[in-house]
Amino acid sequence: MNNQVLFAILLLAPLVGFLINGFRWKSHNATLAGTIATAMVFISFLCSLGLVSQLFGANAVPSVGAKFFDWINVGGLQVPAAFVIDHISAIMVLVVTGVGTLIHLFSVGYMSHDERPAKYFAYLNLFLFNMLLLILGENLLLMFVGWEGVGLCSYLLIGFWFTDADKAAAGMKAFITNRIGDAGFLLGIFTLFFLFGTVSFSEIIARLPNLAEVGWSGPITLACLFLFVGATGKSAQIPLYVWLPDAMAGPTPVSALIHAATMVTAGVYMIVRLNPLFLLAPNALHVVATVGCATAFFAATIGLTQWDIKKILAYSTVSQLGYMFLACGVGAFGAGLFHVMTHAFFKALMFLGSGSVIHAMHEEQDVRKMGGLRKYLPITHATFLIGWLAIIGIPPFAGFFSKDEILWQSFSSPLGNKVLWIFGVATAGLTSFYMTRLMCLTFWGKSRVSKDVHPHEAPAVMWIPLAVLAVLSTVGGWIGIPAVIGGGDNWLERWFEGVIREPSAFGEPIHSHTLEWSAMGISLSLAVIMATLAYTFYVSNPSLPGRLTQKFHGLYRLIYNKYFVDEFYFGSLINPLVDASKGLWAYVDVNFIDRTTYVIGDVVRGVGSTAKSIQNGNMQQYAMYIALGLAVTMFLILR
Amino acid sequence: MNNPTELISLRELLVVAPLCAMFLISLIPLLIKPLLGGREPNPISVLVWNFLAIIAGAGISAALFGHSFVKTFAFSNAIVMDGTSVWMSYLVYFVTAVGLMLAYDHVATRGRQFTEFCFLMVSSACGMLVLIMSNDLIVTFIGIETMSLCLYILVAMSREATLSKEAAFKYFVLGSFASAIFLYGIALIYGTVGSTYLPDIATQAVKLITTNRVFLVGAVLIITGFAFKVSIFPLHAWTPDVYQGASTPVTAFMSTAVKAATFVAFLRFFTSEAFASSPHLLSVMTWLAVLTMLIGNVAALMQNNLKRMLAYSSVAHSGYAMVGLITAGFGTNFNAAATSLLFYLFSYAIMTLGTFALVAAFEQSENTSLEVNDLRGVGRRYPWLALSMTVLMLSLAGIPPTLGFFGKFFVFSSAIEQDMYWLAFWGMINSVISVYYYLRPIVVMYMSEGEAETLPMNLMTRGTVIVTALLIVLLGILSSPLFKMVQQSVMNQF
Amino acid sequence: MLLSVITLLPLAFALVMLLLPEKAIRPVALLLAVVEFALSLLLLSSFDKGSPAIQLVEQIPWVPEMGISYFLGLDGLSLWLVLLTTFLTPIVVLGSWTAIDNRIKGFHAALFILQTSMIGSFLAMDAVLFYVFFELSLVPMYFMVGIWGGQRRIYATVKFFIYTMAGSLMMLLAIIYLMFACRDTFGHMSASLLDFYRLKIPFVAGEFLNPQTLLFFAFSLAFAIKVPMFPFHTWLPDAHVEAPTPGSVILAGVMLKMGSYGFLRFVIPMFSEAAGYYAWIFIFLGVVGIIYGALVAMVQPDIKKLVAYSSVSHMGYVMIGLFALNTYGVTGSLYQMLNHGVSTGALFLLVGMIYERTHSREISRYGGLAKALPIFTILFVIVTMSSIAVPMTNGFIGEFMILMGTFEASRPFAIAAVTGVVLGAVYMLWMVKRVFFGPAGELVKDEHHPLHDLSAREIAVMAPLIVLIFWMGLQPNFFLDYSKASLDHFVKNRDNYRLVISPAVPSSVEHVALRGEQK
Repeated sequence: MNNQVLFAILLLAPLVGFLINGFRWKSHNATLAGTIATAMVFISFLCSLGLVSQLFGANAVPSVGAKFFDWINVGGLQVPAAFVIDHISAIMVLVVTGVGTLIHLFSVGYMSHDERPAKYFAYLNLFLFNMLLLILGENLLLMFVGWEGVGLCSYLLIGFWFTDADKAAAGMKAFITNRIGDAGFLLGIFTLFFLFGTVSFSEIIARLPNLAEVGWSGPITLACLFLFVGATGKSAQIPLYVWLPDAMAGPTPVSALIHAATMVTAGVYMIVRLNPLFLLAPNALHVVATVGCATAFFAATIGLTQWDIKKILAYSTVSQLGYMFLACGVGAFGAGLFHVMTHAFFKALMFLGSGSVIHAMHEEQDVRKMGGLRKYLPITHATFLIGWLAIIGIPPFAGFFSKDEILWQSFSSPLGNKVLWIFGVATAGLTSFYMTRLMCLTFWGKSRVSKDVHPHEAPAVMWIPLAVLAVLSTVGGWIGIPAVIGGGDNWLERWFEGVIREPSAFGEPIHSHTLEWSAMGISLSLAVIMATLAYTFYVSNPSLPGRLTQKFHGLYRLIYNKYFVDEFYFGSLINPLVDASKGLWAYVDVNFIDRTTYVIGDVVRGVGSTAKSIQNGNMQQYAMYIALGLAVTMFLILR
Repeated sequence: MNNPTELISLRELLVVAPLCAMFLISLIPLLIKPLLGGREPNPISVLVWNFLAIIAGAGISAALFGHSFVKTFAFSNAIVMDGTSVWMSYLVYFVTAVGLMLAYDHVATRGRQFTEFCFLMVSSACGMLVLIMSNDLIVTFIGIETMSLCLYILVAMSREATLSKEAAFKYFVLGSFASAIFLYGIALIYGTVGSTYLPDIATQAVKLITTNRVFLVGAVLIITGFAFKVSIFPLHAWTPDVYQGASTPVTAFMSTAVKAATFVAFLRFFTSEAFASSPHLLSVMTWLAVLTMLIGNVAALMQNNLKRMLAYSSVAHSGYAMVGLITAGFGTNFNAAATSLLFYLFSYAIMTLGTFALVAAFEQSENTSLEVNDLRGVGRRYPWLALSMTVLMLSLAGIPPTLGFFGKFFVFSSAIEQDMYWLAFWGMINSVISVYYYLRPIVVMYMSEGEAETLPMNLMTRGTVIVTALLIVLLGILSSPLFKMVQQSVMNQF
Repeated sequence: MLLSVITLLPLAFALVMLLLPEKAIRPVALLLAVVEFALSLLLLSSFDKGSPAIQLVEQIPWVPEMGISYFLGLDGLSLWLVLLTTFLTPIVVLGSWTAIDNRIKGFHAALFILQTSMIGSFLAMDAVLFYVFFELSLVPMYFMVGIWGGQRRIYATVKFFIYTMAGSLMMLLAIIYLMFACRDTFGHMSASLLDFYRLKIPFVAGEFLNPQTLLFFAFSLAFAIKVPMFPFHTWLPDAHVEAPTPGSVILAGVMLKMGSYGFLRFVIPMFSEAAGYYAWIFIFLGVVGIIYGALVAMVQPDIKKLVAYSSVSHMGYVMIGLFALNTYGVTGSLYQMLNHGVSTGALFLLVGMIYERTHSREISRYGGLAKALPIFTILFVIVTMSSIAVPMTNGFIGEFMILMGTFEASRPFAIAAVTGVVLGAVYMLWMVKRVFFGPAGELVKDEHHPLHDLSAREIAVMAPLIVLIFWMGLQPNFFLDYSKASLDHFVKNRDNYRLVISPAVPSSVEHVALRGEQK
């Protein structure tokens, strides 16, 4: 079967699923709808396997692609509907379709009691279609199409239970925040197009200059910054991360698929795709690294204090995304993409796990009302445990390798520096703390479950995906075992050779095994320490946290309320804007622009009434007018 | 030139034959009346006789002069029969005929003195014909007086009790005031030029206009005289009162025919380009035109009485016509300007006739004074009348593709051709203002709630409304032929 | 012949309407409108994509004394606007099936007269003829709003009439001036655009009192009011809100385009220096319009008024695209004109449908509509996506092109304009949230008259629009190919713009220039 067809099936299968379920959106049969949807995604998964396989083996090709039709041809702008799978998008497409399949499967069980399952699965398939566009699109514009498409789907899915005003609001918030990013993305596209006269990735990269830009005002730097604005929107980085925690209003599998595994990593993917471009704009990379690092740390601190299980995971996602940007920022694009993959595994796992918990707890999300669930939900607990180990970076679980790679790169890369590293490690510690806290509050310790709730283990259709993801979170990291451990060199680095460039232009990276070992040791031990600390806090000595929060009351309130960022945005931006608009309408539009027209009318009327008043029917007066008129005329003419 | 020894030649009689014929025939019902012992003859027969008169007049002039537009002089050149005279006389015949029909239908005029009424209207028309053909200020004066005297009585001749009489009185007094001014102007002109023969004045003017102030004064006085008849600001004050007071058929008649005829005479007076060389005359005339448009329109905005509103609108329209006149008098391309003016007069006459006919159609008793709001519900009850009224109003407002639009279009284009952008600009501003009150009747007819009261079955009046509306649309879309005719009639006439 | 048929046939239809019995009117009107649309589709087949020349020309002297002629012609600039008009008319007829319940005769007659005048003004190649159609279009719309409109309809319609007419009168003066300019240059008066293009009108940069600048602004005023461009939009919210649904659809869908088309056809090619010199004013006002319209739309309590202000915002895009004066901008603007016609027309139809059910347009009284009217909601959301330019809908192509063109022309303005992308999402989605999501509002939940979801007729009304939204979003080339030649010609030869009659002479500028000399 030739690639054209494979690509077509790969892309269209989810779309077909969307149409099928879309047109039978009234149906209540979750199993049927779910089966169709899952099958469609699985088909795409198979197709992508078929395509990716061509990148391996003896007669491996650097990339496979297909062009379908010309989408836009205006002036110099030629945008074909062309798609490509190379070493970068290969990983993404496998992750997205693979994890996607599992999450679809999970949803079959999770949404079984919902009243509009068909609609749900239709949206989910539509999302996958757009995500595939985003990943496979061969030019910026197609990527943008997917980029906005996934935003739209996340809007629809967050607000899936739209009768709840807050959920609807969360969806709106997500879309609009993303739109801010998209505006930046658009500007980035324009800059690049007028710089290189094309929007195709390959051509842009082919036409790149050799020398990196210094300073801030260079076109490439600007383009990168514009694109990064887009990334902050989509991948929930400071200052646009605010939508992601609220996005947890959506069904939990959605959080797993869109807001943990796939969509939110689009920003990272975009930067990795354009890594040669970003490597020409060191300043832009510094911004990326700084923002990423800051977000990682900042979100982690918030994660410490949350009580909603999904909110904790959400902030941890933001934090992990921060890691990925940190990686990109220090020029370790490979590491970034590596973490995208591993994170997709373990975070999807944990979200689905939380979903299973919430399912079991009858839509209860507050960890204070949980505890000791281990005995009710053994499988969920087991899998969740693996996810936990992965995220806090315990070898040999997936998270360890990718996170360690990032930390080491941030230390050693010519673009990295100590500060970044320190914050990275600190974040690792925090992560381990709040994740352990989550484990303790949810699964361990004594049960705080209210009497009328009887938690029960999830059905097979839900725990099978968990199991698979657990496996992946365990072994997923082994493709990137660093040279220092594995002896042989890093497989992933070889895989990325050619498509991902090294920041060699900025100096030599530090090569020192002792340093690398010690760095690894520091972060690992820190993780362990924090984990034990959290355990003592929340299991051995539950009263401790209370006292601590009493002690650092102010700080606690600040963090607990997420640094009042939402309040700040509303107070300083949104409400003023709305009031200003009301003012515009009332004063400018109604009372000025509109009024002026009346004024003209009134003036005319005024003249009219005077003209009327001299017309009082008095003949002598008329005669006088004539005489006067004559006199004046005479004077004017004879003067 | 004809030699003085010979008495009036046949040729000269032929020139005045149309109006003589019309006048004589229109006498017949007047003679029948005593034979019937002073009893009013059947109004139909009266109407028929007068129609015959008009047809005779129109027919003769068509037969003798309609085909070729050669200048024919008569009575030692005091009277000229040329294309303009022919075409404008047709207009007069048409208006008079319509006026008679309206009068026949209308409560305020039908009845006891219908015979006299018709006779006066026709003889007033004779006055207009003289005015149109006059090539000599004296004759012009005679024309004006004949026309006016009949009108004074016509205005008074309404069943309506007080208003018409008062109006007639005002009109008479002020009119004679104006005539006095006009006559004085003639005297001064004769004093300076030594002739009242327009071509002589034209030739003399070239040097006199700048050197001789007396001549200038005379010219101004004459202009004032004309200005009164066509109600140019500030001599327009009488217009609303008289138009409102007079019975509607008379209003229709005088608001159209009088203006048309007087403007022609006015134009003949302005034939010479010499006036352009006067430093201030142009600017003053321009100001008069602008003010006339402005006053007419803004005052019309404030009116609720339909007739009064139309009266003001007719003032405004004299302003537009003035634009054409000024471009003719002071511009370089006389023919084009004159054409546009005459075309405008045609369009104006047809539109105004239609509107006043509609007013007449809605007047129940002699004492009704029609408010704009009385048109409520007409849109539903009399769709065709309402539609015609709409067309008429839009045409008055100058919305394409009506005749009114092209009238304005040609006038303003001749103004622009003469680089008189100022005038054109003001004209445009004014047509915007005017739109507001022209839309009001439409709004009332179609958009405001209410029931229209039943109308008397006055077929001819309604017919007039609808026919004029049709004419407006047709002549608007096919304005080219009419324009061409007018153009030819003007060609090498002046 | 085809053009005259397409232009004047609706006039005949209007007469038919007056003669038909009341109850036969709607079906017949629909039939006739469809026939007209089918006829107009013939244009596509008989139109030569390749050439920028004006095609299917018909020229008959009308007032030869003034060089005015009945001169119709079609090119890539007007083609799609004509089709948009003929496409929307049947939809409007079907859409007003129940909305218009009194004086159906008059309504449909007015509708067809309106159609003639709109098509005519898109096809007219003679300035005076254009003016005639342009002004004539006011009259039927005036009646539509005034008779079948809402509470303050009379105020709104009079304002609309006077405001728009006031603008166009200065244009009339300018046209007359140009006609005489033709006489001075070519020795014969002419109102033909082809001659207007060939005029050399003196332009003095930086000072106001010179012919080209004055003419430029005289024309611009007329069209800026029609578009309407901030700050001349004050007539629009009133007219839109008071107009009956079909009125709003035509008004927003087509009549506003007559303004932007005027810029495309008259202002920019005829006064290229002035247009180039003063472009920044229009881009500036356009950007202000985008942001201002969006912000004011955001706080409207009335759905229809919100959509009305969104038109101000969308037409702002069209303006900046036009005055970016490059391929992307102008192409995008032309496309955006069609988009706006489709999506805003659809929005007005949907608003009308819900208004028929609840007789209220107050956003605050709705809520939770999505549960009560799922199909309606789906359609509304799709149209919303098109209106906020989500990719794969028509809106995206236009907006993207325009922003790209603006970016090429002036980056600061482009960056300012891009905020509109965000604000557009803000006001639309906020409205969607308040109307469709959340708990059921007072209008939605009252049991006494439960709301019924869209009828088959209403779905049939929306279907073509929805199809078009995606078709135009996925296959823009199909539409743009017809206009490409004209647009390229427009942009390339802007300083020396000429149009030729095809197939009279090969469409190369040199030839035309020569022809000019020979005259």
